[in-house]
Amino acid sequence: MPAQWRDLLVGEMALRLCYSALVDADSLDTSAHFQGLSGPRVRPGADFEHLYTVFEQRRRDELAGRGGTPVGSLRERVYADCLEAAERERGVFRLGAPTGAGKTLASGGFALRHAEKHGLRRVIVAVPFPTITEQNAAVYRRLLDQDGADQVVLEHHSQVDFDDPGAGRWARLAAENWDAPFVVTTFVRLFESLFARKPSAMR
Amino acid sequence: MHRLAHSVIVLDEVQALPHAMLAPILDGIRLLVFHFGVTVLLSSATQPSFWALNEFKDLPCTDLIHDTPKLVSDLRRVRYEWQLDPKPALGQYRRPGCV
Repeated sequence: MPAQWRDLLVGEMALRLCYSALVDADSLDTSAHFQGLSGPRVRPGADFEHLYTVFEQRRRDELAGRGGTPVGSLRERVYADCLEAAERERGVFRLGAPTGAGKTLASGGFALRHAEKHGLRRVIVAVPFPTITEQNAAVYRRLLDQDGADQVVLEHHSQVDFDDPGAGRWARLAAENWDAPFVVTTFVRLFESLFARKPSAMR
Repeated sequence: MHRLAHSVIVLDEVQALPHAMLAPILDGIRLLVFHFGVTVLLSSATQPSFWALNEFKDLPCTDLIHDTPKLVSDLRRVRYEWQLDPKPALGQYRRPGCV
Protein backbone atom coordinates (compact mmCIF):
# COMPACT_ATOMS: atom_id res chain seq x y z
CA MET A 1 0.00 0.00 0.00
CA PRO A 2 1.45 3.41 -0.91
CA ALA A 3 2.34 5.41 2.21
CA GLN A 4 0.13 8.36 1.31
CA TRP A 5 -2.95 6.10 1.37
CA ARG A 6 -2.59 6.08 5.13
CA ASP A 7 -4.06 9.58 5.11
CA LEU A 8 -7.76 9.04 5.93
CA LEU A 9 -9.26 10.97 3.02
CA VAL A 10 -6.77 9.67 0.46
CA GLY A 11 -7.27 6.18 1.84
CA GLU A 12 -11.03 6.41 1.49
CA MET A 13 -10.76 7.53 -2.12
CA ALA A 14 -8.26 4.75 -2.85
CA LEU A 15 -10.53 2.20 -1.22
CA ARG A 16 -13.50 3.40 -3.26
CA LEU A 17 -11.49 3.17 -6.48
CA CYS A 18 -10.34 -0.35 -5.65
CA TYR A 19 -13.86 -1.38 -4.69
CA SER A 20 -15.18 0.01 -7.96
CA ALA A 21 -12.54 -1.93 -9.91
CA LEU A 22 -13.50 -5.08 -8.01
CA VAL A 23 -17.25 -4.71 -8.64
CA ASP A 24 -16.57 -4.00 -12.30
CA ALA A 25 -14.22 -6.97 -12.69
CA ASP A 26 -16.76 -9.24 -10.99
CA SER A 27 -19.57 -8.14 -13.33
CA LEU A 28 -17.44 -8.44 -16.44
CA ASP A 29 -16.19 -11.84 -15.41
CA THR A 30 -19.71 -13.11 -14.70
CA SER A 31 -20.95 -11.80 -18.01
CA ALA A 32 -18.00 -13.42 -19.85
CA HIS A 33 -18.78 -16.72 -18.14
CA PHE A 34 -22.41 -16.72 -19.21
CA GLN A 35 -21.50 -15.76 -22.75
CA GLY A 36 -18.99 -18.56 -22.89
CA LEU A 37 -16.08 -16.16 -23.52
CA SER A 38 -12.56 -17.04 -22.46
CA GLY A 39 -12.03 -13.70 -20.71
CA PRO A 40 -13.89 -10.50 -19.76
CA ARG A 41 -14.57 -8.02 -22.51
CA VAL A 42 -12.63 -4.81 -21.89
CA ARG A 43 -12.02 -2.22 -24.51
CA PRO A 44 -8.36 -1.66 -25.45
CA GLY A 45 -6.85 1.68 -24.40
CA ALA A 46 -7.85 4.69 -26.47
CA ASP A 47 -5.46 6.05 -29.08
CA PHE A 48 -5.69 9.75 -28.28
CA GLU A 49 -3.17 10.69 -30.92
CA HIS A 50 -5.54 9.32 -33.55
CA LEU A 51 -8.64 10.81 -31.89
CA TYR A 52 -7.04 14.22 -31.67
CA THR A 53 -6.09 14.08 -35.37
CA VAL A 54 -9.66 13.20 -36.37
CA PHE A 55 -11.07 15.92 -34.09
CA GLU A 56 -8.71 18.57 -35.43
CA GLN A 57 -9.29 17.63 -39.07
CA ARG A 58 -13.08 17.78 -38.77
CA ARG A 59 -12.95 20.99 -36.77
CA ARG A 60 -10.94 22.61 -39.55
CA ASP A 61 -13.30 21.29 -42.22
CA GLU A 62 -16.28 22.76 -40.37
CA LEU A 63 -14.57 26.13 -39.96
CA ALA A 64 -13.55 26.23 -43.61
CA GLY A 65 -17.23 25.94 -44.54
CA ARG A 66 -18.09 29.03 -42.50
CA GLY A 67 -15.63 31.56 -43.88
CA GLY A 68 -13.62 34.04 -41.78
CA THR A 69 -15.35 36.35 -39.30
CA PRO A 70 -13.96 38.53 -36.52
CA VAL A 71 -15.50 36.22 -33.90
CA GLY A 72 -14.03 33.27 -35.77
CA SER A 73 -10.49 34.57 -35.35
CA LEU A 74 -11.07 35.22 -31.63
CA ARG A 75 -12.29 31.65 -31.21
CA GLU A 76 -9.22 30.46 -33.05
CA ARG A 77 -7.07 32.36 -30.55
CA VAL A 78 -8.91 30.80 -27.60
CA TYR A 79 -8.43 27.37 -29.18
CA ALA A 80 -4.72 27.96 -29.74
CA ASP A 81 -4.26 29.09 -26.11
CA CYS A 82 -5.97 25.92 -24.89
CA LEU A 83 -3.83 23.61 -27.02
CA GLU A 84 -0.68 25.34 -25.87
CA ALA A 85 -1.69 24.84 -22.22
CA ALA A 86 -2.46 21.16 -22.90
CA GLU A 87 1.31 20.58 -23.13
CA ARG A 88 1.76 21.49 -19.48
CA GLU A 89 1.92 19.17 -16.50
CA ARG A 90 -1.25 17.59 -15.14
CA GLY A 91 -3.22 19.54 -12.55
CA VAL A 92 -6.08 22.00 -12.26
CA PHE A 93 -6.84 24.26 -15.20
CA ARG A 94 -9.34 27.04 -15.68
CA LEU A 95 -11.07 28.19 -18.86
CA GLY A 96 -12.77 31.50 -18.17
CA ALA A 97 -13.72 32.52 -21.68
CA PRO A 98 -17.00 34.38 -22.17
CA THR A 99 -20.07 32.84 -23.82
CA GLY A 100 -19.61 32.41 -27.55
CA ALA A 101 -15.83 32.02 -27.41
CA GLY A 102 -16.00 28.38 -28.45
CA LYS A 103 -15.50 26.77 -25.04
CA THR A 104 -16.99 23.40 -26.04
CA LEU A 105 -14.50 22.85 -28.86
CA ALA A 106 -11.60 24.42 -27.01
CA SER A 107 -12.07 22.26 -23.92
CA GLY A 108 -12.46 19.16 -26.12
CA GLY A 109 -9.24 19.95 -27.98
CA PHE A 110 -7.42 20.64 -24.72
CA ALA A 111 -8.60 17.38 -23.15
CA LEU A 112 -7.68 15.18 -26.12
CA ARG A 113 -4.26 16.73 -26.53
CA HIS A 114 -3.53 16.62 -22.81
CA ALA A 115 -4.61 12.95 -22.63
CA GLU A 116 -2.34 12.15 -25.56
CA LYS A 117 0.63 13.97 -24.06
CA HIS A 118 0.34 12.35 -20.61
CA GLY A 119 -0.96 8.93 -21.63
CA LEU A 120 -4.25 9.43 -19.76
CA ARG A 121 -7.01 6.90 -20.26
CA ARG A 122 -10.16 8.83 -20.99
CA VAL A 123 -11.88 12.20 -21.16
CA ILE A 124 -14.94 12.83 -19.02
CA VAL A 125 -17.01 15.94 -19.68
CA ALA A 126 -19.57 16.73 -16.98
CA VAL A 127 -22.22 19.45 -17.21
CA PRO A 128 -24.99 20.60 -14.86
CA PHE A 129 -28.09 19.69 -16.90
CA PRO A 130 -29.06 16.77 -19.17
CA THR A 131 -30.10 19.17 -21.95
CA ILE A 132 -26.57 20.59 -22.18
CA THR A 133 -25.25 17.04 -22.15
CA GLU A 134 -27.21 16.30 -25.30
CA GLN A 135 -25.93 19.42 -27.06
CA ASN A 136 -22.33 18.76 -26.08
CA ALA A 137 -22.47 15.06 -26.90
CA ALA A 138 -23.83 15.88 -30.35
CA VAL A 139 -20.89 18.21 -31.03
CA TYR A 140 -18.28 15.73 -29.79
CA ARG A 141 -19.90 12.85 -31.67
CA ARG A 142 -19.81 14.82 -34.89
CA LEU A 143 -16.10 15.44 -34.39
CA LEU A 144 -15.02 12.05 -33.07
CA ASP A 145 -17.25 9.14 -34.04
CA GLN A 146 -16.45 7.36 -37.29
CA ASP A 147 -18.62 5.09 -39.38
CA GLY A 148 -17.67 1.48 -39.13
CA ALA A 149 -15.36 2.00 -36.15
CA ASP A 150 -16.14 1.51 -32.46
CA GLN A 151 -18.08 4.41 -30.98
CA VAL A 152 -15.94 6.92 -29.13
CA VAL A 153 -18.43 9.16 -27.35
CA LEU A 154 -20.64 7.78 -24.60
CA GLU A 155 -23.53 9.89 -23.37
CA HIS A 156 -24.68 8.96 -19.89
CA HIS A 157 -27.43 10.74 -17.97
CA SER A 158 -31.03 10.28 -16.88
CA GLN A 159 -32.49 11.28 -20.26
CA VAL A 160 -30.72 8.58 -22.24
CA ASP A 161 -32.98 5.59 -22.79
CA PHE A 162 -30.71 2.59 -23.12
CA ASP A 163 -33.72 0.29 -23.64
CA ASP A 164 -34.43 2.06 -26.91
CA PRO A 165 -33.27 -0.41 -29.59
CA GLY A 166 -31.60 2.50 -31.42
CA ALA A 167 -29.32 3.16 -28.44
CA GLY A 168 -27.46 -0.06 -29.13
CA ARG A 169 -25.91 -2.66 -26.94
CA TRP A 170 -22.54 -0.99 -26.63
CA ALA A 171 -23.91 2.21 -25.10
CA ARG A 172 -25.93 0.22 -22.57
CA LEU A 173 -22.99 -1.85 -21.44
CA ALA A 174 -20.48 1.00 -21.52
CA ALA A 175 -22.74 3.21 -19.42
CA GLU A 176 -22.49 0.68 -16.61
CA ASN A 177 -18.77 1.15 -16.25
CA TRP A 178 -17.73 4.08 -18.48
CA ASP A 179 -15.53 1.89 -20.66
CA ALA A 180 -15.29 4.49 -23.43
CA PRO A 181 -12.60 6.99 -24.46
CA PHE A 182 -14.89 10.02 -24.24
CA VAL A 183 -17.76 10.21 -21.74
CA VAL A 184 -20.30 13.04 -21.62
CA THR A 185 -22.29 13.00 -18.39
CA THR A 186 -23.96 15.16 -15.74
CA PHE A 187 -22.59 16.44 -12.42
CA VAL A 188 -25.12 14.17 -10.72
CA ARG A 189 -23.77 11.00 -12.34
CA LEU A 190 -20.16 12.00 -11.85
CA PHE A 191 -20.43 12.84 -8.17
CA GLU A 192 -22.76 9.97 -7.46
CA SER A 193 -20.05 7.66 -8.70
CA LEU A 194 -17.57 9.48 -6.48
CA PHE A 195 -19.60 9.46 -3.25
CA ALA A 196 -22.21 6.73 -3.64
CA ARG A 197 -22.55 3.76 -1.35
CA LYS A 198 -24.21 1.39 -3.80
CA PRO A 199 -22.17 -0.96 -6.00
CA SER A 200 -23.94 -0.15 -9.29
CA ALA A 201 -23.50 3.63 -9.01
CA MET A 202 -19.90 3.29 -7.85
CA ARG A 203 -18.90 0.82 -10.51
CA MET B 1 -15.69 5.02 -10.81
CA HIS B 2 -12.20 3.51 -11.00
CA ARG B 3 -12.21 4.78 -14.58
CA LEU B 4 -11.86 8.29 -13.21
CA ALA B 5 -8.25 7.58 -12.29
CA HIS B 6 -5.81 8.83 -14.95
CA SER B 7 -8.42 10.78 -16.84
CA VAL B 8 -9.11 14.35 -17.91
CA ILE B 9 -12.29 15.60 -16.23
CA VAL B 10 -13.89 18.68 -17.79
CA LEU B 11 -16.44 20.39 -15.55
CA ASP B 12 -18.46 22.68 -17.78
CA GLU B 13 -20.55 25.55 -16.37
CA VAL B 14 -18.75 24.93 -13.12
CA GLN B 15 -20.55 27.84 -11.42
CA ALA B 16 -23.61 25.55 -11.34
CA LEU B 17 -22.10 23.04 -8.91
CA PRO B 18 -24.56 22.64 -6.02
CA HIS B 19 -23.39 25.05 -3.30
CA ALA B 20 -24.45 22.87 -0.42
CA MET B 21 -22.16 20.09 -1.61
CA LEU B 22 -19.27 22.24 -2.76
CA ALA B 23 -16.91 21.28 0.05
CA PRO B 24 -16.92 17.48 -0.50
CA ILE B 25 -16.92 17.91 -4.28
CA LEU B 26 -13.88 20.20 -4.29
CA ASP B 27 -12.17 17.97 -1.78
CA GLY B 28 -12.79 14.96 -4.04
CA ILE B 29 -11.39 16.84 -7.02
CA ARG B 30 -8.28 17.81 -5.08
CA LEU B 31 -7.65 14.19 -4.05
CA LEU B 32 -8.11 12.89 -7.59
CA VAL B 33 -5.67 15.47 -8.92
CA PHE B 34 -3.00 14.99 -6.24
CA HIS B 35 -3.08 11.24 -5.81
CA PHE B 36 -4.85 9.54 -8.71
CA GLY B 37 -3.43 11.04 -11.88
CA VAL B 38 -6.37 13.25 -12.82
CA THR B 39 -6.37 16.58 -14.64
CA VAL B 40 -9.39 18.82 -14.06
CA LEU B 41 -10.54 21.63 -16.31
CA LEU B 42 -13.00 24.08 -14.76
CA SER B 43 -14.86 25.77 -17.56
CA SER B 44 -17.20 28.73 -17.13
CA ALA B 45 -17.73 32.25 -18.39
CA THR B 46 -18.35 33.24 -14.78
CA GLN B 47 -15.60 31.54 -12.81
CA PRO B 48 -16.43 31.10 -9.13
CA SER B 49 -13.63 31.80 -6.66
CA PHE B 50 -13.12 28.29 -5.34
CA TRP B 51 -9.66 29.30 -4.21
CA ALA B 52 -11.16 31.30 -1.35
CA LEU B 53 -12.37 28.04 0.14
CA ASN B 54 -10.26 25.79 2.34
CA GLU B 55 -10.49 22.79 0.02
CA PHE B 56 -8.79 24.64 -2.84
CA LYS B 57 -6.52 26.93 -0.90
CA ASP B 58 -2.89 26.57 -2.08
CA LEU B 59 -3.98 24.44 -5.04
CA PRO B 60 -1.99 25.54 -8.10
CA CYS B 61 -4.09 26.38 -11.14
CA THR B 62 -3.31 27.34 -14.73
CA ASP B 63 -5.49 29.68 -16.76
CA LEU B 64 -5.86 28.47 -20.32
CA ILE B 65 -6.50 31.91 -21.78
CA HIS B 66 -3.54 34.30 -21.84
CA ASP B 67 -5.48 37.53 -21.63
CA THR B 68 -9.02 37.00 -20.38
CA PRO B 69 -9.97 40.69 -19.86
CA LYS B 70 -9.00 41.51 -23.44
CA LEU B 71 -10.96 38.55 -24.76
CA VAL B 72 -14.02 39.61 -22.79
CA SER B 73 -13.89 43.12 -24.20
CA ASP B 74 -13.24 41.85 -27.75
CA LEU B 75 -16.26 39.58 -27.55
CA ARG B 76 -18.59 42.19 -26.10
CA ARG B 77 -21.69 42.11 -28.23
CA VAL B 78 -24.07 44.28 -26.23
CA ARG B 79 -23.70 47.93 -25.34
CA TYR B 80 -25.90 49.70 -22.78
CA GLU B 81 -27.04 53.25 -23.26
CA TRP B 82 -29.38 55.47 -21.28
CA GLN B 83 -32.00 56.91 -23.61
CA LEU B 84 -33.58 59.15 -21.00
CA ASP B 85 -33.11 62.85 -20.55
CA PRO B 86 -31.91 63.82 -17.99
CA LYS B 87 -29.83 60.67 -17.49
CA PRO B 88 -30.82 59.02 -14.22
CA ALA B 89 -28.24 58.29 -11.58
CA LEU B 90 -27.85 54.72 -10.46
CA GLY B 91 -28.39 55.83 -6.85
CA GLN B 92 -31.99 56.77 -7.58
CA TYR B 93 -32.80 53.17 -8.30
CA ARG B 94 -30.96 51.65 -5.42
CA ARG B 95 -33.09 49.32 -3.34
CA PRO B 96 -32.17 47.11 -0.45
CA GLY B 97 -30.97 43.87 -2.00
CA CYS B 98 -32.14 41.66 0.78
CA VAL B 99 -34.12 41.88 3.97
